[in-house]
Amino acid sequence: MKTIEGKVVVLGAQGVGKTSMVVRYIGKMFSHHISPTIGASFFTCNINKGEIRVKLQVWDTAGQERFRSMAPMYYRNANAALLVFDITHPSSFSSIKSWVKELQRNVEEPLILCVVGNKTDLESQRKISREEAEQYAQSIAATYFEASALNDSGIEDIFLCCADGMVTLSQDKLVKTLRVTPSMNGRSDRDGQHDRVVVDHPTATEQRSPFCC
Amino acid sequence: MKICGPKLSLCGLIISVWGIIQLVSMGLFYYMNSVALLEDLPIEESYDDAKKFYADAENGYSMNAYNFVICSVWDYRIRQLLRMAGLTDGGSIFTSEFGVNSNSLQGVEDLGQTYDEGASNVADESLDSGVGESGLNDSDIRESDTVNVELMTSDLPRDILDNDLIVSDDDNDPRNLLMENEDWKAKERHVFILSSSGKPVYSRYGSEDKMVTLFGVMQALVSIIEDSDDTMESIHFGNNVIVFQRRGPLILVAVSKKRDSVVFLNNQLTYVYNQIVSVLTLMQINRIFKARQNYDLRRLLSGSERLIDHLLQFHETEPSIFVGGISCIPMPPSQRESISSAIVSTCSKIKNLVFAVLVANNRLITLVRKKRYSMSPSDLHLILNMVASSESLKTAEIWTPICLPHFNANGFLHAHVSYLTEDTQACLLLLTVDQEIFFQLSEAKMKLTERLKKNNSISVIDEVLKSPPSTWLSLHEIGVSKIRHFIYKCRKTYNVLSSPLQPPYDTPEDANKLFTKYQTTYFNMMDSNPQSQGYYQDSPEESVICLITDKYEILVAMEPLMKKQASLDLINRLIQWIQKEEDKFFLSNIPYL
Ligand SMILES: Nc1nc2c(ncn2[C@@H]2O[C@H](COP(=O)(O)OP(=O)(O)O)[C@@H](O)[C@H]2O)c(=O)[nH]1
Ligand SMILES: [Mg+2]
Repeated sequence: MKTIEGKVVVLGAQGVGKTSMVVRYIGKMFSHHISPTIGASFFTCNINKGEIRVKLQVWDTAGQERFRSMAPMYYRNANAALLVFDITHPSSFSSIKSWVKELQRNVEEPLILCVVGNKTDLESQRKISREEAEQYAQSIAATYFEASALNDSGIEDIFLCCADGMVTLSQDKLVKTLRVTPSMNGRSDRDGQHDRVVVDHPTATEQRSPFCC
Repeated sequence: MKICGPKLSLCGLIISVWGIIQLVSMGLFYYMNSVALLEDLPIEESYDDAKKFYADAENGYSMNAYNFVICSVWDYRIRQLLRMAGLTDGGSIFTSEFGVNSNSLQGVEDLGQTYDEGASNVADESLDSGVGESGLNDSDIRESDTVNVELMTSDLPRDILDNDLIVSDDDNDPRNLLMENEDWKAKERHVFILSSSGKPVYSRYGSEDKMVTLFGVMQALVSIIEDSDDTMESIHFGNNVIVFQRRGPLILVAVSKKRDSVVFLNNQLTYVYNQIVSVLTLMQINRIFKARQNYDLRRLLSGSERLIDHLLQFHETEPSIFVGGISCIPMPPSQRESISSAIVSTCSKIKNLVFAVLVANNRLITLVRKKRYSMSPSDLHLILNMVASSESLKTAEIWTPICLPHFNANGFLHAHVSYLTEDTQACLLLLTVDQEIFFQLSEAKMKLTERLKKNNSISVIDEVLKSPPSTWLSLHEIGVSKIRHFIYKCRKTYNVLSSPLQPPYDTPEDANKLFTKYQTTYFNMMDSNPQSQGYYQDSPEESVICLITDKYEILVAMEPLMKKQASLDLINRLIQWIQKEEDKFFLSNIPYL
């Protein structure tokens, strides 16, 4: 079984629900009283794609201004970026635009981009329409997702999309940051009890852009 | 019930405006060298030389004139502050004791002194202490009756009117929202942080945006005093204490309604300041305010308010913090050593690793450090505070810059923070100066977890944390059951041992009351620079005893009404027991990496 190890960085303003999304996906829970992230949190998870195991190293960053200068450390050598905004907060949407500009300037290798509009459970307070976000996502060759960490809707698709994208990237000879280890037994120490193992998930092959899944 | 309606507050306003008028006019009279006031001047009893007498009197007149004007402005400001902080309801201020302490008054012992023998006494007081701005007379003000408000408001200095305190009935007036908020007013200890230009930085309760005026008043107070080359330290007012700390570009203010000691509140403010430095570094704070004096620091602190909230609570409820020491989880010494040596052997090859700290439930398990470096208790408290206030998934690894003010206030260390396993409370922190070695540390942590699993340490730690505290320390078994609670600190190693909170201290309120007593006692003694001394306070609830020698400090709560000698005997027995058993409770050896 082949193992692909890739780095995913989660970016976006403070309070949009980045940590909640990751915790929902990896820890399968949600808390209203989650502490603001300090620095960055690192998680790993495994996703099986047929004969390939994709190991995601997820960096959940803090959105605060004081950690801004540390961001390059996390997106450097990243293979995928989740750009999260809160559909009820227009300023969080403009904030992902500036993240995208920063990524475009500083990341050279192909990068899987996912734009995520979170908190769809607050539909009544929505300020950013689906069309607007989709249009923007298209303009930067990203895939757009809507999600709610609270209701656990749409979260899984985002990470699966990253995994799919990594598989595609691994076939690209120019990509050097992905670690591909053709081992018989891919289990390393890092695989804890919290692995997510998804066997043969039907892949979403519809909208495929050169960068993204 | 509304205590202060519009009529009463108008009455209060009139009276206080009259107070200002009176003080300003007193100032004026001094300025005009009125003979009637001669006896209040700081001049000597007898003079041989008439010239010298006139010169001294002249000086005295102008000094007192200045002081009175200062007093009146001050008084107004302070009332405004107290009132906005919910400390007084309209007129009640007029019957309370009132005193102000600035640094040149340091020698004056009784700060809550009453000045109710007429304004002339104020001048007497200033004579004794060598300064004028010490206090004023409220009862005197109350007795004065008819006042013409219009006339006076036009006479008042511009400065005062800018911050006028007329209570409006507009519900949208933020000052009203604040004062109407019973919840907010009921809080016993407030902490405010502002920049020297008066920009709000932090308030313990409520939103800073609703308190802009309050922050303005505090800033004005501090700067008025500073203009006269003095420093505002504290204001005392009945049971209320307000303490000010000026730290570079920041002003920290603690307001307490619990008759807390000034030293305690200063200690708390110092912790809060260190927490801010820990988030931003001193260098960054100074650089920011140098570039832009009215920078809104909340932008950079956002997300760390929670750290300050938690720290304040931690400081009030965790004995080891307010005595400035460290408490460890109990464990057989050989066990602790084997954990330490596992850490050393796993981490010794990592270049640039400065500290490895293992903690659980706000207490230390062990600490390993690079040669020549040491960890101060207060830095360790900031680390514990960070761990306690940032629960996330147990499987996450946190990687964050953190500044330890006593280690280096101007630079960041980088901390790798993670729980050893998913189902233990034991949390490992690896602190390095190299921001590039996350994965190296992550790997080291994994190896260490394996080792500690193998040598059974993790289950030992879990067992200790699960076991009831009495398995390690039972006052009954030591034979000192008349001792209800104690806190012991070894002065050489800073280790702290305190007994579990049992009835009658098993509810948070009762524990809080006891700790407040401890804090007052302890900090009063610290204040008087102790070598070897004791303090004994009897009350119907309990006797609180504090003993400080060059080896240890101990605070004890005893059953009330015991003979002094009998209590001392019990304490001695307890201390002997601690000294015999201390290697279970104390981290005496901090190995090198
Ligand atoms: N209603 C709603 N609230 C959410 C959702 N996701 C996160 N939150 C809340 O938003 C706040 C910030 O979440 P957090 O994950 O810390 O955001 P981060 O700063 O981006 O990591 C928390 O109070 C969460 O409970 C969501 O999908 N719906
Ligand atoms: Mg977060």
